[in-house]
Amino acid sequence: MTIAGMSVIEILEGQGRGEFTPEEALQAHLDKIEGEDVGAFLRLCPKTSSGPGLLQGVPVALGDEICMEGVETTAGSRILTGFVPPYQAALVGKLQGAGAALVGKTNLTEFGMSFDMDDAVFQRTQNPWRPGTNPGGAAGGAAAAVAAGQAAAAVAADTGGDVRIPASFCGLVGFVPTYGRVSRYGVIQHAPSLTQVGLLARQVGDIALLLEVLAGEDPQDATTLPGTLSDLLAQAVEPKPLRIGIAPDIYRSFAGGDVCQAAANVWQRAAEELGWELVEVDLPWLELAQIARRLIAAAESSSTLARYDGVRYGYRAEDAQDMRELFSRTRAEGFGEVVKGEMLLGTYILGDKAHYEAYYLQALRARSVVSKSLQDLWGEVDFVLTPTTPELPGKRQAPPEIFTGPSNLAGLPAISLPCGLVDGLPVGVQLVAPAGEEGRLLRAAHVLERMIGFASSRNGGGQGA
Amino acid sequence: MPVTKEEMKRIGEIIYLDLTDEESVRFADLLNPVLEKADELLDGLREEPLRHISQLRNRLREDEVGIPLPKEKVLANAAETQDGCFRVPRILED
Amino acid sequence: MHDFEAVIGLEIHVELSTDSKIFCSCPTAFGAEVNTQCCPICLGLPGTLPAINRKALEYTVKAGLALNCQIARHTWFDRKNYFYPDLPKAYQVSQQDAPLCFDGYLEVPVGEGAKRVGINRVHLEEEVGKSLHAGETIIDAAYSLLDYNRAGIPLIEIVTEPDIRSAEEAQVFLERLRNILRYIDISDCKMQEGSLRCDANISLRPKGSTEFGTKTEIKNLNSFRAVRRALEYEINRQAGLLRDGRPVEPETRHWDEQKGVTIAMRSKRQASYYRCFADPDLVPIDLSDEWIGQIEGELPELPGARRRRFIDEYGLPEYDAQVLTSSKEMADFFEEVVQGYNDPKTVSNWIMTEILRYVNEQGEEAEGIPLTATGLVELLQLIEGGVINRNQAKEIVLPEMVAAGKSPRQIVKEKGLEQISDTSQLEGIVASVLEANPDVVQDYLGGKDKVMGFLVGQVLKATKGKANPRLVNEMIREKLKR
Ligand SMILES: [Mg+2]
Ligand SMILES: [Zn+2]
Repeated sequence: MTIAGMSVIEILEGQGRGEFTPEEALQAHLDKIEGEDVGAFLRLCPKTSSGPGLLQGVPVALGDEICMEGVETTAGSRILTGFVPPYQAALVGKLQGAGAALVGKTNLTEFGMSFDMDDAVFQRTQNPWRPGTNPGGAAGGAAAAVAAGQAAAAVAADTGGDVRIPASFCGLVGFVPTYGRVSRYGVIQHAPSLTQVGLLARQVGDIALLLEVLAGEDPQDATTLPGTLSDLLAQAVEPKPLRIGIAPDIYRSFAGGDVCQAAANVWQRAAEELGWELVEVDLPWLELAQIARRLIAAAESSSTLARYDGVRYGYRAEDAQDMRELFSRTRAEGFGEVVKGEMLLGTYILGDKAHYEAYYLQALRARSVVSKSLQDLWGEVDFVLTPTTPELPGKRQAPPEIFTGPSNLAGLPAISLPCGLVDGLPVGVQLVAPAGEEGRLLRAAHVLERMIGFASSRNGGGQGA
Repeated sequence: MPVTKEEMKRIGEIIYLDLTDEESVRFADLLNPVLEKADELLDGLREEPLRHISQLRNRLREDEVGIPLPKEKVLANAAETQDGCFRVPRILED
Repeated sequence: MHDFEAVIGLEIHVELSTDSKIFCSCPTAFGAEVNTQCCPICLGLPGTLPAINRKALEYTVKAGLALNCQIARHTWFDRKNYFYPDLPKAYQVSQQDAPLCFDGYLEVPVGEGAKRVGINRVHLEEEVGKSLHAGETIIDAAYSLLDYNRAGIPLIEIVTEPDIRSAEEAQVFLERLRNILRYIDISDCKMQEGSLRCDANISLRPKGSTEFGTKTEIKNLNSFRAVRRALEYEINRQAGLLRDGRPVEPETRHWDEQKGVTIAMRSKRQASYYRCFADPDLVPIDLSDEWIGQIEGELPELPGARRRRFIDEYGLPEYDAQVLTSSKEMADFFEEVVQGYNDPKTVSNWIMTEILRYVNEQGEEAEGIPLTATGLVELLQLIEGGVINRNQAKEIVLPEMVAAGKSPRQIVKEKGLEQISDTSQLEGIVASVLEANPDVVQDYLGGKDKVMGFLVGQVLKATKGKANPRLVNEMIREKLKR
């Protein structure tokens, strides 16, 4: 087996057996980047392992929204071209402290504000499973890098499905923890109340390891949860059968037939082979959650992205005669269409008292409705299972974030597992768990992963590159 | 009530995104279906608005002075500087 | 102005004197080299997050308690969104919807009595940076330079109810407010340095009416004098318009200190609606009764209570107590001096006449008392002990104490001011004075007591003022026993 394409755990084991060094591991991944250009990386900044630790010598890719000191960071936007942070994200320090090797910065849609990777500003990113197809977004570069064996794992922001959607498209495990589990300090965001730091890897075990490294309270991020996480997969298996909430209705409303079938296969097998209990649940608020999440994201974006004005950093329009012109032209030239549209939407719904009440405040009420409804569900089920995203890349019927957005709206942990191929491309199934239950979620996902048996790489899956 | 071209322009001005006529129409066409859907789905909700997703409270730091960024680093990303300051073209009160 | 009544409300911004900024650990010192007290957080660099300074929050509660406010048990921070190059994030973290303190009042003297001016709210927010304009005014400038040292200093906004009825009342209110904020030691309140700033809303209405007229907002009031002059000007201007049957425009006006006029500012392009919403980067604050009680326990005695205590404890007249407690420094100074020289009324007289003169010479931004309490105690003891007389103390010793910071004893020694209190040294001089003025002596012996002053004066003259007058008086009386 070649090093590039190994899981995090395989790399650690390989090094442990003395089969290769951290330097060789990094080099193998860099060679892969050289050899197969899927447009995953915006820039490379290879930093070898900084020492011993849980992730010693593991090559990790970072979404370009994550600030690394001294490395240009754009969050996929022209308006941040040339911006070199004099500080770095708290999570970068943790990865380095654990001995990870940082490979480079991966492509994303502008500020992560579109789930369609074709909206990316700087370059096209290909789905390594089939060149020419879209890897899904917003963290399409991060997913493509891992799927192509150019990094063993990746870290990127998830505001509505940004990590899970491309994980589903690229045959990877995509995960978001409970809101506040991982520090957002130094992660460039557009909608902070919805953003969780997400993880991408080949296996659930890799995710657990990364989460143990990254989780924990950070005085720089007031929303981080106290406490740390450790030995997530080592704890005892659940004594009683797990109860899985399934919502057959949603498949008729939103998802394509093949995607439904893939998810349905998973729960049927889980019932038969694992003895898990299936509980039919109702998710009548999926569309409500979708619109509420979009409005909240737009409102927060109109404020959070207002700082990009050409004065202190980033892109600046040339030869502006006065400040008004400087602001207007910098922002008109620096932002792309999607971001402009969302900021206009956000400004509209906050822009006067009537709109604030009719849209923004109502969206916050919808957020209550969804959170409470999910809260009630945890009395009946341990997890909710849905497809990760309703359609295949490029085919749009329902909004791609229809199933992933609610966990961001309610701040809940969720995981997407590859569960099969449709037309030769991977699709994923998502499990959503109660707040604070990352351990149980990962253990259940671990069991499910073994049951599904989806090979974690294209090569292993028989889709030879 | 759909957003008009003129309204779209005014909204753009608030956040310094000056829109051409063509853009105003395009963005109004983009926003209107979203707002329509919002009108349909959000109307009548009475629950308490969920203002903060975090359940945490009182996260405070002590009043301790740290080391500020060296001045060169403060200014390093600026397009234009002068006399240790960020320089901008004249500010018109508008 | 007889036919109109002014309705005035003030909005005051006060920089808190914490060591570090509100959301980051940058220092807050005034006058540092430009852009040397900044970090990624207060520069609003992408991805950075705020962390609230506990002391800034507690100082705000202190201000609220001192202004008789209710304290919110649950509060949060909002983003107030607007574009300006001195505002790094293009929003100011503020408290639009849930002010920390509300519904208070401040009592101010009006004429013989006192009135309550309502405090609508006291909330916590962040300070913006500074733009330095290369030109006469912001409009002439070809370009501007931005310094973000100030950005992120904690700021409280105090908004009064429209309860103020004259320019004078506004000034008295502000003086009282500053006094209290200095008492509780949360700000140095220097208007010159901008750590206390005031905007005023003013409208007129016919006397007896309870409706509000159209108001204007006056900005750029950089001193107490400016507040008073600008309001006087604006009252006259609005009264003139109303008398002529012309409307008052609801506008923001700029006070021009040089010309002594208010000028309409061009209307803002940006909507005055700030698109406020709760800042998702900060979690809410719950204030328990215990926490508020603990902050209340840290409050010093406030001016009103101290005034009453000065009357009761030291037997001072109301007027003295009022003057002495009008600043914390002065009241502290008084009590320290009384500790060492237990004659409150004498101490009060010295402070109110002599010491206050030096304080007032420093102007509105008085830095405090220009000498130490132990210095004044020593000076009073020197007078009492007959070492120097009152005139010498006032005219020679005190000015030197203030100017050179020397102790009174040292000054007396250096200037050779000790009184001659030794009868053997004075015997000869007294004798020669009596000898030289036989007529006066005759008058005295004949019963004219008041000529005594002349004789004593002659002795003092002969000793260049060093003779102890009380002693000389006794000696002459003894010699000329009737
Ligand atoms: Mg304010
Ligand atoms: Zn700072």
